Amino acid sequence: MSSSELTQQSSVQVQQVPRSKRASKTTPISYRIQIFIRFVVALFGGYALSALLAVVISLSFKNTPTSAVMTATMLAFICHVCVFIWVFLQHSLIKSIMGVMIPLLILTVIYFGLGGTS
Amino acid sequence: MRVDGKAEGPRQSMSWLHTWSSLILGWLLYAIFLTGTLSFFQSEMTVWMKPELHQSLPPQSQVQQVQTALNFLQHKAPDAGAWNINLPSSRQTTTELNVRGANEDPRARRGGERITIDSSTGEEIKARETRGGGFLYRFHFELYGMPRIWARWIVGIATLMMFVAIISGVITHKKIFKDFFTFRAGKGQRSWLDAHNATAVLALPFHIMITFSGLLLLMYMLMPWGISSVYPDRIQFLQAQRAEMLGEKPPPHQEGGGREGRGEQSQNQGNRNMVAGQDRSQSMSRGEGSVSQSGQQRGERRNGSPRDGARERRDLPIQTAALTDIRPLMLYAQKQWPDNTVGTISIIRPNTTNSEIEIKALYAESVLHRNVVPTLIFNGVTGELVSDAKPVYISVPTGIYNAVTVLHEGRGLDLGLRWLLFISGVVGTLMVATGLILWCVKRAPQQEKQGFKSFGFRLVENLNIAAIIGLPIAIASYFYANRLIPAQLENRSDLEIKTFFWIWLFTLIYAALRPVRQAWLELLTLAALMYLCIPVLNALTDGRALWSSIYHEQWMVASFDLVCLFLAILFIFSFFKLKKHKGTVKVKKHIQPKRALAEAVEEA
Amino acid sequence: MIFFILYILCLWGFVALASYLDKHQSQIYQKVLSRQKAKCALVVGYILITIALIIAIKMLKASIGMSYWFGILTLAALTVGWTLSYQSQRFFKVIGGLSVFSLIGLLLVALR
Repeated sequence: MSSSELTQQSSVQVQQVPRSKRASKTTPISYRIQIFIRFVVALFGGYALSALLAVVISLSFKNTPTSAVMTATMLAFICHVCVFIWVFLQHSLIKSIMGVMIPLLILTVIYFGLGGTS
Repeated sequence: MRVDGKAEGPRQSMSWLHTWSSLILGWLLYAIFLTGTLSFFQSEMTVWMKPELHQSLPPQSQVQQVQTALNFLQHKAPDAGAWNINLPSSRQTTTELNVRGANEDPRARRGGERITIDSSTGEEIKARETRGGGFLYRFHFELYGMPRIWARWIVGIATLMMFVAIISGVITHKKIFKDFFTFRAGKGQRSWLDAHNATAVLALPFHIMITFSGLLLLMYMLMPWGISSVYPDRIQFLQAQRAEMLGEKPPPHQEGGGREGRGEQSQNQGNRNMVAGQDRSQSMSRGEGSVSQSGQQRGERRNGSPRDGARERRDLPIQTAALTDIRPLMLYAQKQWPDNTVGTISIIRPNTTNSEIEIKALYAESVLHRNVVPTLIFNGVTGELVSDAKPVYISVPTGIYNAVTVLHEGRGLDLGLRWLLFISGVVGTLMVATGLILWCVKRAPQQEKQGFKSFGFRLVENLNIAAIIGLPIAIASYFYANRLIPAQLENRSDLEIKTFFWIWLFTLIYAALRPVRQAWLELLTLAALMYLCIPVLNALTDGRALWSSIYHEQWMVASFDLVCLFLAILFIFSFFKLKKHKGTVKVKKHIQPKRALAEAVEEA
Repeated sequence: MIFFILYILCLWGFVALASYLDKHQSQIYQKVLSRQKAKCALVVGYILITIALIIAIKMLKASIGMSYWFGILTLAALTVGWTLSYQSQRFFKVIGGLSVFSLIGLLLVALR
């Protein structure tokens, strides 16, 4: 083979996607499930967390209710986005789930502690 | 997220998240962005779509405008409960009147008979029935044809995804400062990425503001839990907010507290700064109140508060009395507001002994004030000043809410800022468009290599066409329908909207049937032609022609035609750029023996 | 009117900021500037943009001023970015021309 063909081949090989990944046209189901779980945790878990945060903040500042409520709502939106980002930043799926569930539990305790009724 | 499950850095995972969070709802986001951007000028759009209004050329003097309106009102409805006069402005070429019956609440936000008059001659104008710019505005957050709540939830979730996309985009953009001005033209995928980066980063404060405020505007639906944990309902919250702003004690929490609060306030109104600003956009006649702060109008909808009017009428016998000369009052107001203009004049109980004249400015003092404009209240008979503009207290959280929502909706903003917001909105729309196209361009080489286009890729390609160029075509067809459907036809506004949707659907079908490149070129041509001919359409169908609107300085009509011409040029430019471009980019590393196959794919 | 003042200031502010980066120096000046000059340019750029912000806040109220400033920044950045990519040979001619147009616009509005 001429040198140019050799370089051709090597350059083609270098930037070709590894055979194993390309050969499997279908992505594994575990991958899809993992993404789905993250999405659910981020969207719904994050929403629950933010909603609870809003309630806790609102109830914690009874002296200035209007400001408290407005601040709480704004922070809740920011919280939701941040949780969403955070869930997808985590490498471990368990960590991302726990990272949402544990604050959720803590806030629930605080909520009942503040005298909230369901 | 890697398929093989290996660890990856934050930039890679955010890149993945950015792609997917923006792609799934990308076309909806594009539609929201485009219609939202256009909505900054919805009033102007509505004026253009009612060519009967173009004849009205306001005289220079506002006093003259008021006098004309008063002459009309004295003649038409001397015994009305209230008159509202919305003076012409940079967004309105006619004088809009609102006449309230004797038993209606004079300060209610809705209700009353709306009359449009020519600003200089004072004759009544009956314009054709059309939703105007309001249709696009409503579509922007309520879509169409589905229950409001569903649509708002869908838009709300899309907004959340947008927010996620922005943050993940910023995290993943490694050289955000170094690449601030980087734009490499003619380099295929790199150029599209640069365009996407430029449009995203250069208007980043705007994008963050518009997305966050978009969520806030829907907060009563999306995140009501904070409010509902403290207040029994939204009205009480709004009243508490208003009380805080005016330095009053908040009304006691009770069911039906809504009405009590209103009663108190109507009595205090003579001594307070007017808080419920008039909404001057004609198309915001329904449903807008649900996102406004004015707690009053919510209660108004339940009953037109006959109690308050009746109470006051019981107290004082109605005697007719001539209305004082408006001229000195107007001059006083104009002197008080050197940087502002008079926007609205309300005359409560005209021609009676207890009439009042309220003069409201056009622009708010700052974006921290939402629905609050400087107001002067005079006694209607003697002309003496009854109340002056009093400072209102805005707490920090309320201020933040007000600022971002005012900027989002463009309420009470002057023309310069409105154009800046519009330009930023256009930049944002281009950001979404370049992102969608980038997704295809990035995967095009791989599609070439595999020799056929996978379903997902084709789907994205077609949806891109239908959204990015299809929506502008549909909007243009909305304007064409507005002028070509006879003015007297019943339900013509529905027909206009149907035209919009049918043409939009047509572009999707067209995109699916034609080869991608051809579809782009042909639809770009169609869009260019349609927008190019809008000024012609305007002149031929009862509108004021472009030379006339420029000559008479009727800028709202002129700028509509001019912007359409500018868009046509943009489409023509894109057409030639695409025509010159030799199809999908061949990444230089691919030294393909399969050139023929690649070309065949490219042609397809 | 404030539009034009802010635009001119931010335009040159961004030109100065762009001059800090090597890749843009070769586009604007057809040569690479010394480190010292580059740092100078950076400082000047920030100063110009800050002056624009101060003027905006002083001439309009704080919140409206800031909104204007952000909007103008976008416009100015787009202008400089576009000129760098497409008109780098005539860079100063284009930016200078735009400044002159803005000045004319400013005068027209001020004298109205």
